[in-house]
Parts: sequence; structure tokens; C-alpha cells
Amino acid sequence: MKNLHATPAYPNEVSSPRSLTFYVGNPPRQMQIFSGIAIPEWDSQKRLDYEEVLVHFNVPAPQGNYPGDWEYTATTSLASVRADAEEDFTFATEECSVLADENTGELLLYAKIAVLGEPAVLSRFSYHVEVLSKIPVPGMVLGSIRWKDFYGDPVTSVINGGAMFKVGPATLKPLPAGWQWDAQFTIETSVAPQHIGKEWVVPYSITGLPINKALIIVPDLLPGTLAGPPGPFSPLSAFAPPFYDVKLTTAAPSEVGLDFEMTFPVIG
Amino acid sequence: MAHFLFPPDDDTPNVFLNPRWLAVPVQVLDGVANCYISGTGVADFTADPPWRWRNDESLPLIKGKFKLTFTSDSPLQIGDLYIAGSGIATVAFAHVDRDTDADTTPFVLALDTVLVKDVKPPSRELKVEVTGAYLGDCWMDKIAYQIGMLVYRPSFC
Repeated sequence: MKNLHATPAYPNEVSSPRSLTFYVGNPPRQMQIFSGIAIPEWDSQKRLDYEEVLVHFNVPAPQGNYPGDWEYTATTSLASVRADAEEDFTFATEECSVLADENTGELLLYAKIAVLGEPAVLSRFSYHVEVLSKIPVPGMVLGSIRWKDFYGDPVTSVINGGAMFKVGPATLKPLPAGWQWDAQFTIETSVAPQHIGKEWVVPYSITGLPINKALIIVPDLLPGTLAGPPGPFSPLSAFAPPFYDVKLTTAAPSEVGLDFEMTFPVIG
Repeated sequence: MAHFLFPPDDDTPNVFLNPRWLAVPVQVLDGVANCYISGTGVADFTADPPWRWRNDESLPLIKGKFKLTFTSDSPLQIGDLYIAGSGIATVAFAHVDRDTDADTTPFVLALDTVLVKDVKPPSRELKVEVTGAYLGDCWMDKIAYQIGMLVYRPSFC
């Protein structure tokens, strides 16, 4: 059994290792994609020699067990071979599967390869793996806050990754108190805004929210984070919608697409 | 060191067989991406490249690059924001050949690395670079690919 590690620290074991993680559906389920070119350098001396290869993805397998709680697709294909042309040869990537390490829980690709020749080497095989969890992510809401760029740009510290908004469950108190945010679950955005077309966009995510509890998710612009707005706009921000009523349940333990648009009313 | 480049640096277009693209609404943690684009197909590099370099009787390992460029057939739409660093690609042999009429020496066919280049708006041109090598009178006529990337697509909001 050959063990190969799909991280940049092992360039002689897996070439071009890449992975992506995102969420699909609502409630969201985690999907992971892995690709790379494994380098088993498996050779043969005349016989058809099989080898088993484990590619280590260096991430935990999804919660639960296969196939009840997560499922996958996987392919392995020939990427690099060499042989003596005067001899018969065989190169094969015959089987593959995705599994969780019984001891560590790490996600692994299992591949069975074979080569025949005198000499012949199956140097590399490429792989593509997609893993989809069936279990919705619990206690999470995802969304974004957008605004038209004529209201102003983020200040430099925000462009460099500083907080610009706070978002979280809040309760509306009589004036002058107004919205009071629940400090336990309220987050500050930590991702630099993206300028897309004529809009700025900031993503946010809140995790660990309670199940079966009515929540009002409210955003707020942190002071001193926007270079604007210019006149005749009021300096007081408004959001559309002003809030989202959310109640996460066991059946739908998370929500996505809670998007806000920030505006500034015209004075007078 | 002998090198190859396919297609060459001129106006030679790529030829893709069965190109397919689909776009899936997604969400990511701490990112603006709302769309995953996935594509599959076969890049056709059918050719008869030199295997004796400059009439040298010795057989060099010839290293080089395949370029997969999607311009008019790009999956990116006007207004899309390509998320830097999100490109992912898998490539593999789809068609290889070996001619033993004149060459009976050992041969090598190799796809070594693959890289999806970032796309900076307003460009929508998608480029994937594959490095490889061959030795002897052989060639990789067709390369199967699977390409993925994250984008922010305003129409998905």
C-alpha cells in the first residue's frame, strides 16, 4: 500500500493538489471537491503487478457514515506512463473509492492500479473526487450586505480585512435604545468587501445559532468604516430588508441567502 | 532542452470535443461566491510532433505545455466575478498513440501539472495550462478535462 499526501508540502507525492468547499441547497449541505495528479511511480517487471494507493486529503470526512450521511463520486485516470516499446504493456487505474480513516477520520481516496511490462512504469494518475454531505449544517445563516458604490467606498482598514458590519440576532427596545444585539451570536464581518460592477459586497456567516428559537437577524454599519456617503444623503444607514425573521429547526437547521442592501436616505 | 507548446503561440484555436458547462447556485463561508461552474470535455491536440529533435539521433525527453483557452466558449458571463484561486482542474489521457515503425526505444507520455489561471474582469477568457512530456515516436492526441471554479454571478442574487 502506497500512502500519498495531497498537500503542497508533498510535491513529489501529489502534483497540483486542489480542493474547494462550498454549500449547496437550502438548508445548506457541504460539498467538497478534490483534484490532483498522484505520483505512485509503480513499476513492473514483466508480470501484471497491482498496487493499492491511498491519497490523503488532510481534511476530516463529513460528519456521520457513508453512505447514510454522505456520498461521493470519484474517478482515477492515467496521466503519466513509460515503457519499453518492444514489449507488451498494460497500464490500468481499475478501481477507486472514497473512505474515512477508521482511526483518524481523515478523508481518503483509495485507488487500485496495475502495470505490466519489462520494464513499465505507471508514474502518475489523476483523480477527481466530489463529496456531498447529506446532513445540513446546523445553526448557521449565510448572506451578504451590498450597497451602491456612489454611497462611498470602504475605508482602507476595511479593504485590508477589517470589520465593517456587525450582524446577528437582535431585539428592538423602545427608543432611544433601539436594536440591542445578542453578543453571544453577533459577528463582525472579517472579509474584505468586493467591488463588483457598481456595487460593493461583503459576505457574512453566523454559526452556532440555537435551534427552535425565533431570531431577528439585523445588520449594522460600524462607525468610521465607509468613506461616505456624500451629500445629499443622510449619514444614517438603512437596510432592505431591515431584518430577517429566522427560526432554525431540526429539519431546516440553517439558512442561506439572507442578503441585505444598504442605502442612505436623501436628506430633506 | 527540447520543448513543445500546443496550440502554438499564434491564432491557432483550441479544438474541444463535447464541451459541457453547468452552473450551480452555492454559498461559501466568508466569501462572495454564489455560483460553482463545472465543465467537462476533451481537448484535441491531434498532431505528429517531432520525436527526433533537430535531426539529433539521440532521443530527448521533450517537455512542454498544453494550453486550453476558452474565449467565445467561456462559461463566464458578463458581470461574473471570478473568485481568485478557486480554479480546480483534472486532466487525463483520452487518446494516446505510439508508432513503432521507426522507433522501438522506450517511450514516455506524461501529464505532470495542471493550473487554472485566474480571470480578471472584464476579461471572460478562461485559460488552463497543463505541463507534460513525451519521449519517442508517441503523442497525446486528446486530453480529457474536468474544470471547476467559483464565481459571483449577480443574476444568481
